[in-house]
Amino acid sequence: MSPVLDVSALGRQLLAPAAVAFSAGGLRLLALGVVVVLVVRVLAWRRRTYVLERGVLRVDGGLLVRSQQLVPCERIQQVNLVQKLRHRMLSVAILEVQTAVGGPGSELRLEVLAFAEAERLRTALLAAKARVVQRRSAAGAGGREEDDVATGADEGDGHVGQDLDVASAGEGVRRPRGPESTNESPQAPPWVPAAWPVLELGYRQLAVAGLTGKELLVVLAIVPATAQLASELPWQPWDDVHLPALDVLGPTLLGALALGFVAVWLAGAAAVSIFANAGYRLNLVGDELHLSRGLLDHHETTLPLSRVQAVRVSASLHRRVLGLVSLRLQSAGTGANTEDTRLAVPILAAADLDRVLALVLTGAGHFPELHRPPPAALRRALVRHVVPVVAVALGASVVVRPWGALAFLAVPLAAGMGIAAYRGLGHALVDGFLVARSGSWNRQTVVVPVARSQSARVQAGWWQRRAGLASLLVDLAGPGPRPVVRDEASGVAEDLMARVMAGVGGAGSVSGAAGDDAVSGAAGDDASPAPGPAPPAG
Amino acid sequence: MTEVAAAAPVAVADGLRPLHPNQLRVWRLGWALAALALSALVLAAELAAAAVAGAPQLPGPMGTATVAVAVVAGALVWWLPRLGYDAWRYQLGPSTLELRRGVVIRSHTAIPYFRVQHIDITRSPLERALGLSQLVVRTAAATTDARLPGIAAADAERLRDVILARTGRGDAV
Repeated sequence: MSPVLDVSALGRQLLAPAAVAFSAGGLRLLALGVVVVLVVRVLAWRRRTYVLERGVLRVDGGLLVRSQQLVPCERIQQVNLVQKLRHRMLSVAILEVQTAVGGPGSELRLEVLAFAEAERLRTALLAAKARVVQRRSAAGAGGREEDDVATGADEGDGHVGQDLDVASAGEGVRRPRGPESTNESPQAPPWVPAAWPVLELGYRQLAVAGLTGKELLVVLAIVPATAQLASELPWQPWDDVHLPALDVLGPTLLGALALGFVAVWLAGAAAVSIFANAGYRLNLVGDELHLSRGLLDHHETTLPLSRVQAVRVSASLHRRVLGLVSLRLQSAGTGANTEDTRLAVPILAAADLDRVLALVLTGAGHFPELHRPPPAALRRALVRHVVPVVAVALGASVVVRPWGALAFLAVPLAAGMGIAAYRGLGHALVDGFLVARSGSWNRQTVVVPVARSQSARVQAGWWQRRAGLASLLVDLAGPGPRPVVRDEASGVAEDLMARVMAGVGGAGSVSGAAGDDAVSGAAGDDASPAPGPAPPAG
Repeated sequence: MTEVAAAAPVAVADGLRPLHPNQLRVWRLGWALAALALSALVLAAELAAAAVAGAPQLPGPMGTATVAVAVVAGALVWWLPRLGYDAWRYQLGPSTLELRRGVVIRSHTAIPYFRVQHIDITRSPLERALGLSQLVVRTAAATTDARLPGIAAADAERLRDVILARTGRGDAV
């Protein structure tokens, strides 16, 4: 570990004892407390060591209770390199290694490492993982595919050096092909693949992302709070100033203030987005996605492609009008405590969607035509949106005698939302990918490789059954919302589930290769969705 | 996970199967306890209303509400578990374990054997008394809800082994 102690963490640790010590015995005890904590920290730091040997990362630590964490490299889901501002000033970094299904134990944090060392360790971890995977595949009589690449000739080197022929459909999307990957020897040493740019975002695009995204709401919440704070300052200069001109200029001034407020608001939203994502660069290196972003706090995320569980495309109405979308990659490794923006594309031209999707989801072609649910679903959507509003309006008109009835004006609005919600519904199952869309204002489309699904469920409530409808829910490894195909005809939903289950593979279809890593598929389970033998195409 | 590599799938006739009839008793007993507790609460409230001066006057003679609640709860205790029991079916399909259940919200869950991470067998005191077990099948997805109640205790381990045998060669996490 780097000898740099994380000062802020130290500060947090110091705070409680310091308060206790200070209240108990004044400054002398406080000093003693600080010294004790410092000594404990330094001893703990000396105890905490890590070593990478034979494909296993071992971290020892613990002062009184010794602990040892072991992470087999092939289980690694995601590696993140985080540099907060203070880390950047000291050129150190936090390395986070995410392993299994999420939850508190799934993340291993090395805090803090010298930056160069952190980078070196990350490379070593990923290389070790590739080596293990390679050995496996070599042992697997060559017939096994480590990744869900359709053709597996040069899988031996543990990288997806293969051309990604999403292009079979005529799209010109190609995967980077390392120079060495052309020699198809499975014994080839692991090459260092070139970075293949997937996406770069400039300031202008990030500003647009902030101006059209949730940053607007975030800043909107902050600005009044600041104003509130200002109004509670003990000394308020503007109280003492009385300009006679103010009475005359009042409306003008008010207008200027409002304009100023809007300007600050918009600038703030754009700034939030830029601070979070400046220098946004998403690269494809071998079979890993490398994301680096951040103006002050720098984040570098590495996610093996084979760990991508689903891709969620969302677009609010105004973004749809502008032809923009945002993406979020769901991986099994995103720990419960991590913010879910780890691997997200904040803004993307809709025209670019097919290209990016094909790169991050191996085998995904372009967005298919979606199958629309039956008209009964429209009735369900209307009822769902309108009935609660009518109920509230009835209540309001009874309680608030004359004016409460105005609440009925919201009914057409609710009906409109219902229709929009119905229009948003759709699904498709093509080439081993389930695509499900929903949402009225904010439309979400989730693309799931069916081979990644853990289980599925067709569910129908009382009213849905009366309308002959059912919803399909698909369970994925790791946290995050589940893909749902809502309000489809019940027969279609059942059929869809059967097809999804058929695409999971395992059991009969991949006899030898089955189940090397049932969590999210380092290996065998990815072999099944090969577009060719994929069960039924939508 | 236990290594059950090439174990031949135990011959279990595929098809929709109901739960063990004792599961109905387990549910009824459980619900009956809840109904009893509720009736006791209502009785206590009635007694309190009668005893405390200034409390709202009871509409009927003492105990009316308790009896009414007890009768309604009793009917529910009789019928709801029956409906739930009748709705339950499970099936060991060729590649998936399928569960069908639910009265108001019907659901049909499919779990590929291939995805099974581990299987817990749990037994509540009531279930123990009636010789039943509950199988909880886990996958890597936290959202997978695969509880299979009402398996005779003697069969539970066998069923678990059948499912694990079908997961294939699994050295999963």
